Amino acid sequence: MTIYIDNDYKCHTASGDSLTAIETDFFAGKCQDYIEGYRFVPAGESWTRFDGAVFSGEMIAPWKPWQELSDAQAAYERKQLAEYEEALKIMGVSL
Amino acid sequence: MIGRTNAVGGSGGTLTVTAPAGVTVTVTKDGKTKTKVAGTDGVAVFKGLSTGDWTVTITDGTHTASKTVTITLDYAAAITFFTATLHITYPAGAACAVTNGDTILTAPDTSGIWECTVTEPGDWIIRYQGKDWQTLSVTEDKSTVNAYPGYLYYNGNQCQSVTGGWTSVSKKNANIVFNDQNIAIDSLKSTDQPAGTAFTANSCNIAGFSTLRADVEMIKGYASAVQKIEVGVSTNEITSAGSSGDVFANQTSPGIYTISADLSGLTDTAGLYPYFMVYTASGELYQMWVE
Repeated sequence: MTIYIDNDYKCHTASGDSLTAIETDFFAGKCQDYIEGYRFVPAGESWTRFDGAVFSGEMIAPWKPWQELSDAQAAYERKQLAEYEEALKIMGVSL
Repeated sequence: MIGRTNAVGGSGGTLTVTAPAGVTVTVTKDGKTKTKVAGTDGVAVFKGLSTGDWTVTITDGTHTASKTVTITLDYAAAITFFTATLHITYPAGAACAVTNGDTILTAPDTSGIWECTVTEPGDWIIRYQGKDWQTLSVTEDKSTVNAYPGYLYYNGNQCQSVTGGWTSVSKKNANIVFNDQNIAIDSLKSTDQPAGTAFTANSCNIAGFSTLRADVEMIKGYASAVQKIEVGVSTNEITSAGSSGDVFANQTSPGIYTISADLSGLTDTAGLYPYFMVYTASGELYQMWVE
């Protein structure tokens, strides 16, 4: 899938000014809140953290607390499941 | 050792103290103090001591040891200095200390190697970067105990106290070997994109550390479009080879690397599974640590 990174390597799900398109399978199936809580440093580039630590790409790591992202993903998957079940009910398919 | 002798002539008991030659020996009870220097034979004899509890102290000006002796008439006791060495290897540049609750010893520098002498037996907690890393039980006089705070893998040492040891899973017959000095993974070919992942058997409590680093080498790649050597952590137990974790960093060309991954988004997550993965390539892990 295509994601977009800004000049701080934070991920975005929609294109925009100063954003670079990146192709990656890492976020397949992940919701917007999960994706946009991550940082993606491409191979050949590097990112310097606020304390001076340098990380060379390819590196993928959350910049938001990971538990928040995990909770958002879980809520997204529950919502999707409910929608699928509703759609099947409408179609007359019993589970 | 203190020999028991019969009191002959005079009143009180005789206390014969055997200690390192030349040390100052002091006996104290109820405000009374007697001091002698242990002779070349290591013996100091105190006569005319009343019955009861006497505190025997030895010192060489640097070290001090004490014990209580109960004199009935004459009494025997042994007193000696306890020393043990903690051979501590830690990531250079980091802070390291040990404590038994009463005494705190701090590494004299940040070189990454510390020969730490402790003078009391018991449990010694190793603190790495200000956090308690592991507890060493030191019981034997003149013993040496090895420790690797900060490390999750060190040149063949699987850092069992923190990791529970390392294990592995292979996809499409990738070869994984736990050698004396490294973990070697070889996909052997490009067909079917074989991969191998080595990971810790237990989840590691590395909460509070913000960086994962590893010294690795990609020896050979078998398919330039997909080959990689990777380190990272997973928040779940690893069950399949070749899949990336929740945080990771990788390299895709042959070479020797220190790979670093940012853990700052996981500092509140207690149980993490660090891993080393080789995908359609041949590679080795030498060291892995947190900062």
